[in-house]
Amino acid sequence: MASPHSDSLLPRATHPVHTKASRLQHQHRHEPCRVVGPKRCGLCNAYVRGHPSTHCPPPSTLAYRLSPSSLLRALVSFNTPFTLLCQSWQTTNQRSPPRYPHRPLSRLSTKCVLRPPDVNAALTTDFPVLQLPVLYVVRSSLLLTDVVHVSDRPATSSSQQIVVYAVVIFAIWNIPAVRNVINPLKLFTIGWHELCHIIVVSVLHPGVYYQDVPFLNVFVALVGYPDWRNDNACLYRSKCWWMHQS
Amino acid sequence: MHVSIDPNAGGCTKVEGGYPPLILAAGYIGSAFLGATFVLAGFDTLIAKIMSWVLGFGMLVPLALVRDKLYALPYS
Repeated sequence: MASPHSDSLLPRATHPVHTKASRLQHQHRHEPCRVVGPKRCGLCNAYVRGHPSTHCPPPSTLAYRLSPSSLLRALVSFNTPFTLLCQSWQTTNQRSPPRYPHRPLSRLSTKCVLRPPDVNAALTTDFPVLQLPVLYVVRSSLLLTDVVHVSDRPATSSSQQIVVYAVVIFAIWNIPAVRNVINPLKLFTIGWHELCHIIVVSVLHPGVYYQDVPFLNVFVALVGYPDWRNDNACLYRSKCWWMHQS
Repeated sequence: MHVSIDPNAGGCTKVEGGYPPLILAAGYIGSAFLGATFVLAGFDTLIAKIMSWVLGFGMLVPLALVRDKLYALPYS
């Protein structure tokens, strides 16, 4: 005995139905697509109207921040070669939008633009046809949420992160062998400190300052104002001598 | 002028001429300004990426010009 609902599996007869939805679909088909798709909140997975990061604040519990999803989200949102590769084609298309002779598409102005494969785009130039589906599949498989919600989320530092940074830096600073790792950072800080002295004494107070830089065997003249009337001697020679020990 | 920096002993700058109180305060003012720039840049993703390049370039310059690390690297 046949089920009363078995006929629903059969293909229905196609006939034009003029409803509001069909008119909108017909109108949308002949207009350039400017709707980039609905945005979902990265936490509650609900459709949001504004920016997804403003829908619901992330929980500040330690269990959430150490959860696999948060660690994966932080790992992918950081600048890795993979994320740079994902953003390269978007930046390229923002600067030079592709030209479509048949059906012009909107500019890729936002990062949440993910278009279906287009045959016309494959025939035109400067559009990454091969890279697009690969990047779409890889990003969708790696990310639990949309990549837009991750990359556009403002980078804020919580108190727990500051405590972690302080503890890690204090440990690196005191371990005998590991303390050499932060030498470039210390040199950068000290060098900028001394450079500020040099900038002030050379720009605001003129004088002649030369330095023989043993890099590429060049003789670099730093900023200063030589007295060309006195054999390029210092204008304020032996007027003041001062030394700063930091 | 003479400049020397060391990760353990600090830095030393000998200059000639100028106004000593202003030169003395310039190091602390500049360091505070740079630190504030890095802290404020952490609230924006794009500016944080830009400042990361500044940090990387600023770490390479002392190694190349003062410590002679990058210059002697191909010959080591």
